[in-house]
Parts: sequence; structure tokens; C-alpha cells
Amino acid sequence: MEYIVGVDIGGTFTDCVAMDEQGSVTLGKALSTPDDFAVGAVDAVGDAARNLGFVGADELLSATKFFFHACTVADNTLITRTGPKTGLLTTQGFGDTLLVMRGRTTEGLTESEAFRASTQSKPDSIIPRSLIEEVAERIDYKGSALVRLEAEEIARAVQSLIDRGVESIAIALLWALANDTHEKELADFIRHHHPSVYLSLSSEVAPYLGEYERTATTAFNAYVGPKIAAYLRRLREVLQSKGLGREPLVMQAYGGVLGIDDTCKKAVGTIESGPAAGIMGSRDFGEQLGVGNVLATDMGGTTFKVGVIRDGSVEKDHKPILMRYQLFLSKIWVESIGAGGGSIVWIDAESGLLKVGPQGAGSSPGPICYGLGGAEVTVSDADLILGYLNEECFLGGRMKLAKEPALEVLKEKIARPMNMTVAEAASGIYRVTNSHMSDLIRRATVERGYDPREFTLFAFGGAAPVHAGRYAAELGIKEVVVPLTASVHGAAGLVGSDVIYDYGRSERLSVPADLERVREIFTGLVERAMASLGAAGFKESEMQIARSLDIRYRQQVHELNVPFPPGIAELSEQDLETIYGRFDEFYELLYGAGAGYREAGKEIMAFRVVAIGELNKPRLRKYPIEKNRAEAALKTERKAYFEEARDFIPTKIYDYGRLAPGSEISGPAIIETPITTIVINPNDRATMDDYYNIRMVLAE
Amino acid sequence: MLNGNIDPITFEVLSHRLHQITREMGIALERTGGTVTTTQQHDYNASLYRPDGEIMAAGETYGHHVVCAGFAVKRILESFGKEEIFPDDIFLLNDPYLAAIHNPDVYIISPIHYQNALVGWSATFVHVSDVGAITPGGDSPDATEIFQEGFRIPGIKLVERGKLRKDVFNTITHMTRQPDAVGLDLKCEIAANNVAKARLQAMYRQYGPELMNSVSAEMIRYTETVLRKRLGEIPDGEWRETLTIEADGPCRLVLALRKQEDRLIFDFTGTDPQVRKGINLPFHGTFGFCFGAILYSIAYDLPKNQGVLKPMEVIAPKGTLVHVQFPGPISMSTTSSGFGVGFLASSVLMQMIATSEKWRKEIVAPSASHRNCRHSGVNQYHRYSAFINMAHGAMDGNGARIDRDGVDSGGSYMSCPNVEWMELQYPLLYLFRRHAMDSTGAGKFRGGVGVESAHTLHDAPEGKIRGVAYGVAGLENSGHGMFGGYPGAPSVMLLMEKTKVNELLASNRPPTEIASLGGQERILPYCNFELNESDVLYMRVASGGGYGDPLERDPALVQKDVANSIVSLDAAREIYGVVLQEPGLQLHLAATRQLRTKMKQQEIDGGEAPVP
Repeated sequence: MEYIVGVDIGGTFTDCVAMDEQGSVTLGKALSTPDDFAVGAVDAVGDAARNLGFVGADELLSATKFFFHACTVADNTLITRTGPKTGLLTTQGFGDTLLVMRGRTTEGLTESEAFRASTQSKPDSIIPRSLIEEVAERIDYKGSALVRLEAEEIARAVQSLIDRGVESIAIALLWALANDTHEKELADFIRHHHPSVYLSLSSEVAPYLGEYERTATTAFNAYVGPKIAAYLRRLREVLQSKGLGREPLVMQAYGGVLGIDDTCKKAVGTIESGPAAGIMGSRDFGEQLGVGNVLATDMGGTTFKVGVIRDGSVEKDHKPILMRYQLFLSKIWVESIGAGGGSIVWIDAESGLLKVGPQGAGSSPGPICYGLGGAEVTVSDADLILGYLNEECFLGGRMKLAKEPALEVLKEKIARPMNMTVAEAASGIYRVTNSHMSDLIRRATVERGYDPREFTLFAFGGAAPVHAGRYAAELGIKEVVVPLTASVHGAAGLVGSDVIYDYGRSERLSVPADLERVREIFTGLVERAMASLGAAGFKESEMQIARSLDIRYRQQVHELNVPFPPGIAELSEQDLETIYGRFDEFYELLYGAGAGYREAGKEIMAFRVVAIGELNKPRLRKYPIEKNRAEAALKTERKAYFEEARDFIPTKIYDYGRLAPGSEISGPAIIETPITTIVINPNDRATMDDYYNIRMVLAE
Repeated sequence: MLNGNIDPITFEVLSHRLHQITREMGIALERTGGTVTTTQQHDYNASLYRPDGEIMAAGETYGHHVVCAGFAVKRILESFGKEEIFPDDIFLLNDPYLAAIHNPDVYIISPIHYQNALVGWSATFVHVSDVGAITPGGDSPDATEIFQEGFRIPGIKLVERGKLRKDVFNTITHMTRQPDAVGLDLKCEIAANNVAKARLQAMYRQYGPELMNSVSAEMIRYTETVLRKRLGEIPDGEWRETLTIEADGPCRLVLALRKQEDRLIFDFTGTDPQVRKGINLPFHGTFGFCFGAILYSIAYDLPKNQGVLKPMEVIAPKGTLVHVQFPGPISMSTTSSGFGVGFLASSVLMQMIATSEKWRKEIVAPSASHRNCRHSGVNQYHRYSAFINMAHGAMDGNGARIDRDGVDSGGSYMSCPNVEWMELQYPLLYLFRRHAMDSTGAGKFRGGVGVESAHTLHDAPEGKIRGVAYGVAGLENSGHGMFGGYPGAPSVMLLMEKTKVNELLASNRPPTEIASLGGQERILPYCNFELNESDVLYMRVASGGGYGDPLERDPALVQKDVANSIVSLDAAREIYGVVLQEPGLQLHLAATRQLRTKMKQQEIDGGEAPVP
């Protein structure tokens, strides 16, 4: 038997999913080990191996056909600012670009932070000004070198950074996207004289228009690169020493995997790759369930995330905001807010209004009910008081919850000041939390022209299934799916991965564009992508290539990405005409009929190519539907609060482990699984489907 | 504080969602706008109003326009009457003598109906590319009366019952130098208003008219109540500030703020008479800029609506710079007297909250920052643009705070576009764009540093483009210090004619130092100018004022500023009394202590600080 193994490293846990040739999945979990994440990765594989009946990780790794991996090393390095000493070489006269950002920069701030002048700030520069060296050179928008880069200048500038002890260098010159000669000359010199220095070139990492975003992306890459490279090389060594016969493949933020050497060149691409894997998994999963429109929601202890899958395709963001910087990075589009089970509940002193988050209690001390010293009421405490969580049997009995202290603090800090009963206060917390979630989903759908009622909502993460029935109902969504692998979202997504290369570049062409030039640019990008796939061991027949253009109305700034039909057939004038027409359609879909102003003319701003090398993987295993065995899974009954009754009412509690495909349950009810708790509200119904997922149908 | 009839949780959910609608309108404007000010600089507003024109939910940008668009809604109600206002109508108004502030900021206003009842309004403004004024782009330094400042529409139906009136649309764009760009501008406003209507109607469907109406009324009452309570806790008093703008001679703006119990009276008595240059501000603009100053200080955390206006009164004598009489010119009003009023209002509010233990922490040293230039002309692709905003003001340094420095290049309201973006669109070459060394206001906490930049012509087919200099002209246009903090260096806009920029480039030397450029310099007041081949426009924007005595600044912070090229070694010694030694800028603590003691003694003796 051969296996496909996915390992996803999160803040607290490292998850593992192993899928066999029949498509059966086995889960494994271990604590993450920030000192050396490779240890936790092997532990998680070991846990899955034991669940499969193996003695340890070695046996499973020896039988592993593909090993997929998503890590948070880049995210952690940035959050904790523990990258190596990193320098930046940039055009003379523009050394402050990374600090000026876009002048007034409120991206990444909440509403009240943006309005409060007394505390507003910009982030500390990712590369300090004292390690930014200006270089005498200048290229213009056409790519002409107005000031040529001279050899002595190269030596001087590089030496001055080396003298300051940098281990990694970002090179980001003005207009390097139009002419990369100067960047290459600097890089060649560094490679020759200082081969151990990690290099990050803007013309390679982010060849797009806009020096602030390009410089920031290049700087981020230089900052995380050395750590990613060291970690991945060590992981490869450890895994291979334990029997893995293949190159581990690493998840990228845009949802495909790459080999370790390719990953190291663009290390910044691994940021938020775990959630990306989860969204890709949701897409594949939706496809198997026959659902093309999916809202993948993930609620853990600290954040709530939403990804959108429309007509079976995942949405991408080419200009994401990370750590308050805007980057040029192809990334699966994920919207998130700081709200989760650990979000702290408080009362605004002046208004007397109930607020949830954005501060969280984290995993330590965590909610009061964890009994680890938490003293602030959290969402999880309210969930427990409402009867949704089980005091005795949380996480399949691995943890006990303490209700009494949670009740007392909630009464003192929330219920009494608000002149409410404990039940009213807890239910208020539950409602406010759910409204934050539905607001975020609204932002991810309604605000972008999609009707949430046309989507099926997936609930991932420990806390989502407790809340999903409500936040979905608020948006008129009819169906909620809690997947078998709900708690290992990222790892489950990993096992369905394909190798994907993502290439692109900026070039402005007026519409109607010169067909020859369009062909030429795409040919260059496609050749590069096919060469990369070829080097990764794919035959031409196994490659899928997709081309797209970023187009905008002349004088506008925001482009829309419009895809050509898949494949690399030579483009014709007619294909371009079709693309221009699709741009108008997309535009009106987003901004309403009549919003487009075709008279202004159009411009092509960027060219993109995605090249997929499909890996041969089994599909998830399907099990036969049996007769309704819900009664056999009934554990007990306890009182839980439902707003329809405005009271605690008797509620049946079911054991997920004893349900079988075909079992049906009517709300109010609760299903307890070893990893989460599924709340089925009055009038809603739930069934277990042939993949062991719980599917809820919500009442009108 | 809430009215007992409304469930606080529902209140929280709905007020949050109304705010989200204004944000979403803003996103629609940015995505679909035709002008860089809209799409990249956040120079727009998008707000919701109650059926009577009271502010229901103010958008996040430009508080003054929130108020003025409210006046515009009221004006439409009066002039059309309810019987002539139908579902899916959309109106346009840009007359500064009725509601707007200057002609290019065009209001688009939509009634929102639910089940045929008028339940609210949405309104937006963007600065459109051109209005057919004497000067391209709208800000017209040569205009002496409103008739030279472009089309002026007192309220017209642009969309009737959902159908665009093409004749009206074309008439408006036809009056401008750049109909395609103005067309995009108007379309983006229509799109944003459509978004507002769809979202508000959805909320009415979900929650019902009764609840929606009572929540929006309660939001206003709530904001008013809390604001009045806050004012009541601050000691009564009177605070004054003045500002001089240079426009063919000094023009003085004067403000006294009287705080009486829970009321604020902004009194502009003593302000100079209006002038025959478009820096005069209409009264509702003055009102709006005072509103904006409150919004960003003692109301930053409240639902932003009509409630903010209720405790305030504005006295602005007719015929002055802050209450212009017809037909005085107003085209540059927003960024001159407008930002001037904003500075005065914020300055007196800061003085006021400095008297309150509870509110002191919200102090930000005030700034009269804005100075800017824009161009018009034919670009490298032979296409004409009427409105090329250089967005210098987006890179001002902000004022220092009571416990931290001001934000470096934090911008007054706007964001700046990338150099590459500008060079791709327009026939320009930037020589540099960087933080201006030694320009911030020194202090225990220093002001944020502003940006200096220079640009020249590049690939301009006509060998020249036009320019307009505007904003707050004069030498007071920077951040003021507070409690011993120094003011920031004033903004400077220099036209350097016939420089050696092209010779330098030809000899492969980057022209990144002003001193190396040669040529003839002149400071630009409010004026039109031409940028010709080999001319350079140099601009240094405002920097923030400092807070507290620079001799009390943590020497380690000064060391960091020197390392970051914000403060020079000389200034570290002469202003901060900090002795740093090369190599590596080592901090010499004993020498610093000694120097500071000596400098403090000389301050007490009344002498100048020593120059070692």
C-alpha cells in the first residue's frame, strides 16, 4: 500500500493526513515545535502512522508516494521579526520607499484604529533605513538606462552592506520590471564575491508595476528566505533519513506545491500557505460532493477566515495586504478577522455596548473554562454556558472544561453591568460573534457581487461547527457541511495538491493590443513555466497551462484578471476581442449594470501564466449509505439554549463515532466529535453523507 | 446611554453594518473611478443620510464633505419637492454657493426608497478631472469670480427612475476638457450610489422599516448624548488660534473656540475679508471642516453621524474668507482656507483637551499642512490630461503625540501613488522622493517627517506641460509644536528653471541633489506656471510639530533618527544636545549629559542654544 501524506504546521498543532490508494484518510496530530518545526512534523506523521497500525513514522514515510507540506516558518519569522540581518539595494534618491509606503497608510487597520490620530502608526520598516543602500543608477519607464550602473558603484554599494554584516540582500531598483540588467549585475557581483548571501531580486520575485509593493515583496522575501531555506533543507534531510524516498513538495500561497529548491527562491510565497491548502482542499472536496459554489469558513481560537470558491474555481488575490504592507504575491484570496473561540468579551464603558474581540486570550491562558488561569470571558465560555460544549467531554474527552468559574465571571463582568440574566448575556455574546462572522462573509460575497444564497458553506476548525448554523442562516445560506476532516483543514487540503508554477509580468498595452506583442510575452512566460514543470518531472501531456490578462479601463487603477480558455493554442485577434468583452461583463457583474464606461478605452496591464502538473492521486473513498442509525448514536440529553425558545430546552446529544452514512438527525441537537461540536438548531436537519461528512439543511 | 427600547446587540450589529455600507461605497469609487485622486489617494467621500438629510453614517474620509453633502441632500429635497423625487432617481449638484465646496468636487445624490417610501439618501463626491474652468483641472489661481471657475449646477436629475439621462450626462461631460475622464468620474459615483441603495434596501428587507428607522435615529441621539457628556467633563474655557495664508498679501484666519458646558462655539470673528482669489470658503465648508476636526479628536470612536453636529455652533461673519459672498471665487478653497479652518479648529480643540486629564492622551500637534501642485498637458502617448495631481500632500509628516512621535510621511488625508505609476502615465521623471532630513519639529517626541521630491519633464511631446500651485501657501504651513516642541519646517515649492538636469544625466550622474542642479529658482505662490524641458519642480511638504522639550528626548531615539537619515549629526547635537560619534554613531552619554545641562542653563538664562 502506498500513501499520500500531508503535513500542515499551525501555531499550536501540527496536523497530518495520510490517504491510501483507496482514498481512505487517517488523521494524526502533534504539538508544533517552534524551536525546530521538523520535530513536530515527524511527530504528527508518527501519530498518523500509529493510527494506521504502524509502529512509527519510518514505516509510513517509507511507503509514502507524495509528501506534501505547508509551514508557517515565513509567517512566524515576520510576526516575531526574527529574520536575519537583511539589506536592501535601491535606486539613488528613492531609499525611503519602503518607509514612506503609500503616504497615509491605513491598510490593515480596523475602523477605530484608522480614525484615532493619537495612536496611528506605520509598521517598523521590515528592513531598517540604516541597512538600505542607494545605488547610482536610473532606468526609465521604457527600460532605457538614463544613468548606467558602473562597476565601481556595484562594488562600493555591495561592500558597504557586507561591512554592516548583512546575511541576506534584497535588490529592488526603479523600473527593474522594464529592464532588469542593473539588478542582474548587482546579483552577479554578490553571487561571485559573497556566495553565502541570500539574494532576492525584484525583477524575479515580483516583476510588476509599482515600486513600493515590489520593493516590499522583495524585502519580505529576503527577510524570510534564509530561514525557510534552512528549515526546508533540514526537513528534507530528516524525512529522507526516516525513509522518505521522494522530494517533499511545499505548498505555496497560491494553492499549488513546488519542490524545495524552487520554494527557497521565492520563500515569501509560502506565507499563509496552510489556509491556501485548506481552500484548495475545499474546492476538490466540493467537486466530489457536486458543489461548485463553496464558502470555506474556518474558525479557530483566534481568527475566522473565509475563502470563496465559485463555479469550482478558487479566487486569487494578486495584491494581498500582509503585516500592513501591500505585496505583489499571487495568493488564494482569504478574508479574515480576529475573532474566534478565544476572543475576549467586554463592555464599552461609555456606551454600555457588548463587544467581542479583537483582543483574544490565545491558547494560554485561554478561555476561563480551560482552567489555565484565563480571567476574561471569551466566546468559548459563552458557548459552554449555553450548553453547546460538553464540560466532561471536550475534544473527545482529552480536556475537561470548568463551567462554574466561567459562569461566575460572566455574571459579574457582563450580565450584571448589562442588567441581563446570564443566559441573555451568553446568548448575546453568541449573537454578536455570529454577526461578526456573517459580516465577514457578506464582505467576501455580497460586496463582490455574489449572492451567498447560491453557496454551500463548509465549516472547518474547532469552533466553526458550533456557530455555522447561525451565521449561515443569517445570510440565507441553505446548506452547511461539516467535513470529516474539519479540524485538519490544511492537511486535508494538502493531500489533493498539484505542482503549480505561477509566472507573470507587467507591461502596459493599449487596447486593441498588438497581437504579436501579446503572443511574444505569453510565449516567454509559457516557455519558462513548461521548462519548470519539465524539470519537476512532468511530460508535456501532463501539463495544464492557463493564461490570463489584467485589464482596466484607461485612467483607472484597479485591474480585473480575465482568463483565456485553458491551453496554449496560438492566440488570435478574435481571442483578444472575446477577452475584452469578458472584461466588460466581469466589470458590470462587480459594479452593476451601466457602471462600465467603455468609451474611456481599455489597457492591458499585466500578463499571467499558471502551469499545473497534475499528480496522480486517488479520490476520497465513498462509503455505502445505510439505514438511519441515529438512535444508536444517541449519547444523552442535556439542556441547551436556543433563541427560538428564549430558554434552555432539552437537547439530544449524539456521538459522531457511532453515526453511519445515512443517519438523520433533527434539531435541536448536538453532535460531539473528537475534534469539534456540531450544533443543529431547532427546525434544521442534519444527515451523515457517504463520506462521513455531516450535512445540515437549514430551515427557511 | 442607549434608549431602553432598543436591544443593544441589535444596535451594535446594525450600526456596524451601516458603516460597512459606506466603506463598500468607497471601494466601488476606488475601483471604478477615472481620476488618480479617487482611485489611489482616497480623495472622495461616501455617506448615508436620513430621509430629511441628517447624517446617518459618515464615510471614513473627508469629514467636511460629509456635512456639505448633507446640505446638498436638503437642497435637492427643497428644490424638487418630494413629489418630484422618485425611486431610482439620481441627482447631481456642485454649486458651492448652495452646498458644495468647490466646483470640481461633484456631488452625486440618490434617494433610497423601500416599498415606495423614502427611507434615506446616499451621497458621494469625487474630484472630477475637469469642470471647464479657466484653468484645467478646476483649481484656478487666475479666477477673480465664480463665473470663471467652471460649470455650476444647482441640482439636476442625472438618472430618472433608473434610466440615465444621456442628454444631461453628455451636456456635463461636453463642458469639460476631458469628457472621457469626467464620464468615468460620474459613472463611478453612480456605481457607488447603486451599491448603497442595494445594501440599504436589503437591510430594510431583513430588519423591517420600523426597527431600521428607530435604530438610525437612536444612533444619532446616542452620538450626541455621549459627545455632550464628554464635553461636560472638560473644563469650560476659550482658546484661540490664527493662521496667515499668503495670497497677494497676507490673509489672516482667526478662530476662538468657546466651550460652555456641553456646547462648542467656533467663532471666526476677526478673520480677514474675502479676496479676489479662489481661496475663499463657503460657510457650509467652514462648518464641515470644524465637524471634521471634532470627528478625528474627541469623537473618533463614536458612530459618525449628525449627532456630532448637534453640540456645535459656528459663527463666521459674512464677506470674510470663511463665509464668502457671491460671486467671490472659491476654486482653491478646500486646500487653502478649508485646510486652514481645519488646522485652526483642530488646534483649539487640542488646546481644549489639554486641560482635561482624561483627554490629554488624544493630543496630536496640529498641522496646517497641505501644499500641492498639479499638471495638465499631453503625455508621452499623445493623450491629453487635464488633471495630473502630484499628491504631495499625501506625504506630509504628522504631528507628535503626547507619548510618541508623529507618523512619518503619514499624509493628511490621502495616499500617494507610486513613482512608477506616475511615470508610466505622464511625461515626468522623478529625480528623488525621500524623507526630508532635519525638517521635522523637534521635541521630546518629534513630529513625523515629511517628504521632499523633485521631478522634471521626460518624453513630453510638446516640450512643456502646465502647472498649478495651490494649497496653504505661506511660511506657517507646517506642523506647530506643543508644550515646548518645535514647529516643523514649512512647505516649499520651488520652480527651478533651465537647470543642468539633462547635462547631469548625459554625463551619467544621478541628479539627486538640488544643489547640483543650478538654474534659476523661484518660490511658487498661488499661480499657474509652465514646466519646460530642463526645468525641475522641487517640493518639500510639511512636517509635523514636536511635543515637549527636545532636550528631554531619549538619546537612543535621536541616535535612531540619525541612523534613519531623519535628523543630521549636527542637529542631534545642536537641537537635541545628543553627542554621537562616528564610526557607528556611538552614543556618548557623558558628553550628552554635560551638553544638555549647559543648554538647559542657557535656556533659563534666556540665551540662544549654544552651537558647539
